[in-house]
Amino acid sequence: MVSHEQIWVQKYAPKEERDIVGNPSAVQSLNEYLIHFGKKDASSNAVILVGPPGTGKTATAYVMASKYDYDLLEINASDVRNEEIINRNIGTAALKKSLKNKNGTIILVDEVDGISGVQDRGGVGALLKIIKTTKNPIILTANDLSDQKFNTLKRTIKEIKYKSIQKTTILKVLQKICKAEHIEYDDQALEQLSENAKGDLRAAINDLQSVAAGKTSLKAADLYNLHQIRDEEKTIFEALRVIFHDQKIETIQRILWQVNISTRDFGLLMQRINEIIPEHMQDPEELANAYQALSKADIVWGEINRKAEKEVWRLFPYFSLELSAGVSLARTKTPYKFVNYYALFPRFFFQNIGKLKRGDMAGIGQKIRNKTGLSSSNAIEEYLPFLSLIFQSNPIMANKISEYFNLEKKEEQFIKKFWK
Amino acid sequence: MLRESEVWTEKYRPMTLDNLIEMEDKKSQLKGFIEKKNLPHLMFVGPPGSGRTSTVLSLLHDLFLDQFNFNVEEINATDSKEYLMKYKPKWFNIAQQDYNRQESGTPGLNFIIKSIFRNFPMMRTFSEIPFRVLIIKDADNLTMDIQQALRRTLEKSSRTCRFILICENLSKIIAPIKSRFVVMRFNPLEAPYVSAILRYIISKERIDIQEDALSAIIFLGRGNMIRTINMLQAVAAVFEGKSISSDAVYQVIHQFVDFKVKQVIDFALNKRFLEARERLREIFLQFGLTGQQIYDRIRAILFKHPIPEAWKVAIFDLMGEYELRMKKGSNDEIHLSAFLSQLGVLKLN
Repeated sequence: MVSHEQIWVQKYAPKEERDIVGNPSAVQSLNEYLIHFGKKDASSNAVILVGPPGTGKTATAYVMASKYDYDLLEINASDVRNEEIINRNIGTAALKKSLKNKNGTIILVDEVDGISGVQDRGGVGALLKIIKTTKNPIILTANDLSDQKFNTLKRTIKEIKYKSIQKTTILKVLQKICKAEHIEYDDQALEQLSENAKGDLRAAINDLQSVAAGKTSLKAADLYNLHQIRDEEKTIFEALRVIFHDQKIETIQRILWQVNISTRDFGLLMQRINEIIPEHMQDPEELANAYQALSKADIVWGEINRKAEKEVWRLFPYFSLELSAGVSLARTKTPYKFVNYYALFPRFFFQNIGKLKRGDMAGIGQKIRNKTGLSSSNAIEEYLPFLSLIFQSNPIMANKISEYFNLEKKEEQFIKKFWK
Repeated sequence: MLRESEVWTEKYRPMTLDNLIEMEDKKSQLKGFIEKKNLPHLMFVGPPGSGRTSTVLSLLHDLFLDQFNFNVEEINATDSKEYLMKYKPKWFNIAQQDYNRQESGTPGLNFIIKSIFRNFPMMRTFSEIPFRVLIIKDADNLTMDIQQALRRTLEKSSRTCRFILICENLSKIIAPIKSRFVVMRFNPLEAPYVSAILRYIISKERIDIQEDALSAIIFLGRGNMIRTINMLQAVAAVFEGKSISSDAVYQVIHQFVDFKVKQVIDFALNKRFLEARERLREIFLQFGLTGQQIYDRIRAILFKHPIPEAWKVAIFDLMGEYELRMKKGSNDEIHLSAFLSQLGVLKLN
């Protein structure tokens, strides 16, 4: 019988209160809520635990349930959570006392910020009604409550904030796990893992398991392959927002000086502006003017880069003015709108989905996808140009390929004429 | 062992970790999982054709051996409802039943995908390894809504299943999902490795190809193995029985480029800037042309283009200005984009 290893995040999940690491005041608040619940001095019928992923929100709820002898009913974002379903699932549970010898049932509604406005219509409202009348404790969790649809919720119930777990705390947990798993470790390796996790304990444990699985010792060199990608860039995005929103030259100039952009990154900034211009400027006239400015900025930049002498840097203000204000003021007709810059990068390969929805192309895309696993649009992009050539010039090979993808006669014809 | 397929990208897809080229560090990490007969939830991040899928399939073949087909399923986040109906009827029918408990009619795409996430963990396996694996390709196309749904399904179901996400752009994956996965990064394959793979295929398929033609394919493929192998197969098909030179390779590629360049011009003149730029970018990235070369192709195509001659004069005038700017500037694409945006406001009579 082979022994099957558990996922460490679960194996080492806290079982008792003293196992919980970080956020002691949050744990204390939760204790108080459960002690006072249902009594006259209760301050709130429910609590919401708010904080970044991997800080122990759900884990604490489970520990508390067993400490105060409650059952726990968990509802999460993978269940549809509209008004009707919330009433059916939580509504009845909130009013019922447990049949067993327990104090009742803690209702844990995980990831409240995942309740969507459209599909889970009325979900938040229904939740609030239940909270008013509940006879059982209700604990909600969320990563982020900044959306205004949660305003009433925040006013009604007690918010308990969770902070990222400190690096040193994460380090201690990792050391403990290594000891329990009989893995010898370099201090440096564990330190780097703790650092990479950026306050997310779950991420740290997952990373540890992935690099230490099947090993008896862990060295810093083993982390070579481990991503430094749990970070995101912020400053450039802030600058972009100002450039495309504010149309005051002074403000825009100031943000360009304030944000922490190294010289090398100005090239990157131009790339991004190049990417964003059509999102904000939809009139051909505006578009042409914005690109005119960007193109001038790049000429000055080329000059500065090529000479790299001190005196050329005197041109810098012209570069930054064209780059920012020149582009910004080109928008005269299209009103400012919110654009999710994060979602735009890197958008290198286009996906022409409209084209794919039509007729033969769609069918061919699906057939290639079915054999290769590529998305239909990528399948078209990567395969069709080359298949077209093969179908035009080599009928024998074409026949075999056609058989493999299960193509129909008219689809073969379509591929053949793809370039015509 | 080779797969039965006349499509070389599939025929020569590695089936076991030992056959993967390069990636020694990744391999040892993955073999660790196989030894323990356990997997974390895994996320493979990188550009298309960098070996993400091949690595996943090799890993799972090595892990499940002859049980692979029973334990592994895949969906693509961009799959349409029609595709799922036709090619994944099992999942579609389950979603249909779920849906009809509440409403009549057929479920939407979001509902089907959520239903797959809900139901996949419930299907137990009877093989030695106690979990099944769902591969989600192009996972960066999952909507926020669906990513939220995936979140908790993950941990609650770790007894019975693992998820493997394959994606290109990590920034489109929400933080709580990233946090629950072990991430592995892939880069475009480096030339020596591409070369080794191509040489293997060339020997198996008995292709007569000159050294410089091989270099041209490697250059044009830009480390994307799907494109590289497809290109090799297309060139081999067109010039079957002949010795293939680099001219032959470029002859094939120029057909594509000219087709695309014409599209760029037409879209730009019709004030459809975004579509024009997307194709421009393809030419840059897929075929590795410089701005200078693109202007050359534009010129060649414009001569033959059926627009009135007077328009051509106006366009050539603009081209001159922006080609000059490009020479002075630092970033080719910016000036080409600027040129295209000017085509949209060209005063033609």
